Amino acid sequence: MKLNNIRNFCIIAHIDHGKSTLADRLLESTHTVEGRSMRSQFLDSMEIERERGITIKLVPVRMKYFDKEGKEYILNLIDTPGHVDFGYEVSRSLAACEGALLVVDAAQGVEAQTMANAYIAVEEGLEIIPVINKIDLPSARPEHVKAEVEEVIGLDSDHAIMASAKEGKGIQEILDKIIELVPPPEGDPQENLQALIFDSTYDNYRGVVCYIRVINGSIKKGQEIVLMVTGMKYTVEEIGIFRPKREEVEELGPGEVGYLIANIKNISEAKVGDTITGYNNPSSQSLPGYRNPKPVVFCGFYPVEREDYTLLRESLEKLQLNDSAIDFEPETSVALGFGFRCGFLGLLHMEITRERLKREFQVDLVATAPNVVYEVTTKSGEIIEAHRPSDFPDMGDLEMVKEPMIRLTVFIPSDYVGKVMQLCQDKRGIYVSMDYLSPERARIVYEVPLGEFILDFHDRIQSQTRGFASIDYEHIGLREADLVKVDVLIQGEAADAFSFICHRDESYQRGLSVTRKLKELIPRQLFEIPVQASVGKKVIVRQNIKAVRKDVLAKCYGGDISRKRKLLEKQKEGKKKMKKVGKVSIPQEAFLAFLKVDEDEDKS
Amino acid sequence: MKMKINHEIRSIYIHIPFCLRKCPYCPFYSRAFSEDEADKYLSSLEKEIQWWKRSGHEIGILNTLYIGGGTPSILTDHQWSRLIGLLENSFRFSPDCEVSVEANPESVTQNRLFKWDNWRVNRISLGVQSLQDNELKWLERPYNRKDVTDALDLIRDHRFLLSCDLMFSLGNQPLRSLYSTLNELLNFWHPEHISTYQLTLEKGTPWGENPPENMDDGYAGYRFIQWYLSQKGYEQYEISSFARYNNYCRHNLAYWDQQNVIGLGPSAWGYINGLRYSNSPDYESYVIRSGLSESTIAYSEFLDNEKRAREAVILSLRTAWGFSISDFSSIFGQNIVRDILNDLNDVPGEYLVYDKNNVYLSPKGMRVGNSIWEKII
Repeated sequence: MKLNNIRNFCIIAHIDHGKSTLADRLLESTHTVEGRSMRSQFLDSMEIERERGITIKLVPVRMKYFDKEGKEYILNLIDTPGHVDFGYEVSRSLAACEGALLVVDAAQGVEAQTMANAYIAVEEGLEIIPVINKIDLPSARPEHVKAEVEEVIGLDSDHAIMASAKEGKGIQEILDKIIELVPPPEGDPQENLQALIFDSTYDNYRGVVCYIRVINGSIKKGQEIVLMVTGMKYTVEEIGIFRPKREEVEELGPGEVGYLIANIKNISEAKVGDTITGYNNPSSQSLPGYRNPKPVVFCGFYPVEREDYTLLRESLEKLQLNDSAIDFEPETSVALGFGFRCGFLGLLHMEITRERLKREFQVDLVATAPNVVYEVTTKSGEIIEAHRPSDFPDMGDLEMVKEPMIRLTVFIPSDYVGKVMQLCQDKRGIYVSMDYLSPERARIVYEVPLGEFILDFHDRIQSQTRGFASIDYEHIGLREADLVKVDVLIQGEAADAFSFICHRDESYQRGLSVTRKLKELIPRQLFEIPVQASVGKKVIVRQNIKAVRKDVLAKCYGGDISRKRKLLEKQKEGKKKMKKVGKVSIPQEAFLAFLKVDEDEDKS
Repeated sequence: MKMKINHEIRSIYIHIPFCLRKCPYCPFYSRAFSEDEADKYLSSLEKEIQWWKRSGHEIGILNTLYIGGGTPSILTDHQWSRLIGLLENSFRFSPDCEVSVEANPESVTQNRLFKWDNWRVNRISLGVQSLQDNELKWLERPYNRKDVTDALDLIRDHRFLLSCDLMFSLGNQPLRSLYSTLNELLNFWHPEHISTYQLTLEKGTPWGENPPENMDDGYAGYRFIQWYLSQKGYEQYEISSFARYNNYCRHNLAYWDQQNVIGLGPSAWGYINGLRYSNSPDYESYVIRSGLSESTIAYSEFLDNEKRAREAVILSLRTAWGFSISDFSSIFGQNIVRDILNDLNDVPGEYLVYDKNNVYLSPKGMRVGNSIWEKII
């Protein structure tokens, strides 16, 4: 196929604006999938994706299209995940395209992720075709939204297409515009091989399957190749295209999209963004844009049943085969026993991983509250990556702490501007900008510490705006902050499990609430127990748990001594499960409450 | 108190499983009284006694007999005559045998008292609970204040030692109400013995499942009772027992001293040389099994030396005199006693008193007995 007859494009949209439905319609009208085998959200193969209406894993598909003159074209649709957590994967899949359909809901208008994805597309130099979708809705205001695309995003919306994917309106026009506006790929079949890996999955029988876009040269079965980042050499076992099932082909030339199987054992060898080249005639240059996505949000996963530890480890290993962005290492917790500290690209990534563990591997999990990693510089100049409060040096040795920041963009109805700004302010946000997109809608931009954001920001903003807020964010690196480690002392002994990191200004309030909570949860014992919060050597809060004053079985006669003994045994059994800090017994619930564990709770 | 090792059975408990009606907090087994069922019960009791006689256990001259329940006073005069005849024919009694009967105010009658007095009964344990009408009503007791004072007057016309059961930590019970019950009881009827107990909500009782409101932790009431009764010349000789002039309940001491006791009647517990057992838990199964001349024992466990030692320490620590380290060492062995003392190591001195060879709970320690015993169990 000539380069001129190929179009590579993707669809980008805010969640729920109808991206998957549009993809379904395109597959149908190009007869890629026949009506009877069609199901909705065809390209979203994972159960969770279909249920939540989101796309996590990219599935590229090749469609055949004949224009009015009967000329044949190949259209490669590269689906993209819509969420910021997968932003890197979005940018890699955009790099495999020359054009993008920007789908905007005709009722909702431009939302946070519409903007974010559109700007990535602009950055990648893609031709963007706006599609105003859902024009069939009674509340649709297509002309208004069209204007918004122009004013808010700054895109020329003259050639915007009015469509309703649900009713099949505008589909033909979209296909025609793709041919007309999206430039054909450029590339030289004579050049040395350069192909971009824009995604990969793991097949239990064949090993790693790389999704590739050939830029220059060509690739065929039996060819020896090298992955440029790792320098590893493989022999191509199979190449093919997606229709949407895998279909083997002889050769993939420039501009073409397909897959490659080359006996690659581990997904971490075939990194997204890496360049494939020939072993014999290597290209001197790798394609731009390989980076190892770095986990930014961490939490502990612990099996509910202790004996499921091995199952959990094996399941994480299997997930990692498909999702190299997951990071994990063994960890033990006083309250939860053996488990794993896991790193994720973001909150959604974390939740999805947790849910996949539950559904695909039947692992019952306890997840601890997420946290971030701080960069701590000591007085001696040593730099520590602090995952837990216990990684912090003594306050006296501490020179500087840096915390990860995000730039947060929130779209909201104007009525909520005050509330949202207050929330951002409470979360130690730094105001960047605020503007009105229309009299009814505003955009607020803040820089917020990621650690504050992942705590409960999402729940709070949605409850304060009745779910009307649309949020997007990007990571903007580390920034110095006046953070302190607050230690909790129980009867003078430091109880590591309860220490935490917070801003100095909040240390008193949070110390107070933690010691109060502990006072509630630690049962009275035979002696008074001081519970203190301290920063360094300085005690900032003190509460006392008074000694038990009444704990006795009133009556013991009639010979029911065995029964009384069992009651005592039960009482003792309850305390056995407690952990001792010094002389003080602390119940499991205290540790759990502090971890703010939520078990099997859906937050979609 | 010296530790005795006694392989004979010298104490008997008889459970009379009938009440006028069930109180919502009571965890003991009883059912509504019917004359017909009580007759059947007495026949079964006779068979159960016969079984014990055949079983080869040596039942010696009795030191204590305790007829409890339920409400033993609810049996008719005729049934009491039958019960007395049965016991006289079956057992030998020492001249100073303590014979206690539990009675409830609504079924204390002159006739009944004469009958008991003419037999061997020398101690009556009256379920008073309170002298306040509103509290009796709240507890759903089947009698009022007048019934109690009448019963007390009647009992005091006889020679019985009087023990009164009182309850505290009732919902919304002010301290002055507890005070006026105690004060009146002591001034007018000066009982030899008082058992106080905190209203406890146990699983399987109506209040255990649906607790009433405003229950407190019992601290104030218990503390007040400890203080007040000691002012009035009562010795707290056990967690929930107070006595004037050493009028301890010898039957209960037998339990706390790990003496052998047989329990007769449905749901009764017994202990014989390390074997603890309980009887068929309800009337129906009890009547059926004894009718077949079978043993009515439904559950038993044998306590090995260590369990016995730990239990002995716990039970003895209920009493004001506790236990003697040397006595227990010679009975159970030094190692095990050392282990137990080790377990008690971190109990602060204000709760547990080491007085040379003796170990016992202070009044403060008695208030938190569970927290101390659980270290030994």
